[in-house]
This record gives sequence, structure tokens and C-alpha cells, in this order.
Amino acid sequence: MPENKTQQNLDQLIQKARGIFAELQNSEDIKSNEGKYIAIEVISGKHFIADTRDEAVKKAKIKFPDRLVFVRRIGGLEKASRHLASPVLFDYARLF
Amino acid sequence: MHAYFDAKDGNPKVTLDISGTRRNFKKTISALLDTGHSGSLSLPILDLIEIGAKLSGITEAEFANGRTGTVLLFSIKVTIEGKDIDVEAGMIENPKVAEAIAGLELFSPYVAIIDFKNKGIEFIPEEKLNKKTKNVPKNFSKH
Repeated sequence: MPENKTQQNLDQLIQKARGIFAELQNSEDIKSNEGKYIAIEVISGKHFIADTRDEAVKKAKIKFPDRLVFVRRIGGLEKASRHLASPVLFDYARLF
Repeated sequence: MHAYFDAKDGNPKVTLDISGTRRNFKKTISALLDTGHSGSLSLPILDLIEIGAKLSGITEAEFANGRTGTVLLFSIKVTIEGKDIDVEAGMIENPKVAEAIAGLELFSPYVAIIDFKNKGIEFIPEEKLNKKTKNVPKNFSKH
């Protein structure tokens, strides 16, 4: 029988995923995988760990192909590039 | 994969073919090769729309200015040397930015040789590099 739970909006997804990650942070699973990536599917609460971001998302998508997943580096956050940041879209209306 | 130093701005770049859900459509882009970017690929929002990329998730990252934030991820394919590779590309929200960024993860299967003096870049799979360096003297420094 298909699950009836609807996809949450992004803010809810982020908040819930952060909560799940915070709970997991002291677990051996997380401590022993520093530097790897964790993908969290927030509705089920399941997580998937892999060496790269792409692999972690891929693992999660095998189990949950139609769900958005939250992914982050275990330990320090992933470093993003110089012009990736967009704190304010000065002259444009938001697209999302 | 064609890698080069762009004469216009002097930056190292790679040419990549990207595709999304749009049928039989590949877009050739040039991406800034950024060793400070630990993800695989970040694409301008307009490129993502053009190829019909599917939203797959969200990630947290630390930006160069020290700020942390979230980045939307899209499932795309990148064609490198004839092979399609599944990549979760980050979205560059700022519509003023038209250039893609290729990070370390995308090139993890390769060894890169960057010749800053003569402005040349070459990506070599490790097995080919071993053949090339077979005759390197034993005291050759790896550092």
C-alpha cells in the first residue's frame, strides 16, 4: 500500500534533517565516518553514508526515488565555491 | 574532457556536456575548475532549467565568505569521455552568475597536471599516469 505522507516543504525538511543529524551525532556510526557524507530521508528518518555527496544521495534514492533528501558532510561542512553564495537577490524577484 | 586556461580571465576551465530530463538534449558548458569547491558541480539556475534537471535534495555548505547556508541539489548527467556520470549538482541561485563551477569530487577519478607556466591542464586516469611515469627516476619527489 502506498504511503500517504506528503513531501514536506524545504524549511521543514531542513529543520527535521538537522534534528535527526543532531541526534545521530554521538552515535558510533557517525563518529567513525568523519569526512564522509550522510544523506537523510526525513519522513522515514533513515540515513545513508557514503564517501561522496553523489554516492550518498544515490544510495538514498535507491530506497526513496521520489523523496527529497538532505545531505551534508560529517564533521566540517562541505566547502562551496566563491560565487555560489547568494545572500540576497538584489534586483530580481525570487524564483522559488 | 577538454581542459584549458581561459585567455579572457586566466582561469582554469573544463568543457563538459550536461543533460537532465529533457529528451535527447545535451548542453555543452565551460566550468571554472575550482579546487576550493569540495562538491562535484554547481550550475547556474538557467542551465538547470534548460536541461530539465530534477530537484533531488538539499545540502548544507560553508561558502568562501565564511557564511553557511543551504544549496539545492539537482540530479543531472555529465558526459565525460563518452561516459554518462550521475551527478548531484548544486544550484547557483544568483541569476547574475552564468558560469558553472567544477569541484574536486567530479575529478576524483583523475590525476590533474596543471602547467601554470605554459597555461596547460591535463586530466589523466591513474592507470595511464602510471604508464607515463614509468621512467621517472626513483628519487622523484611526490611533494
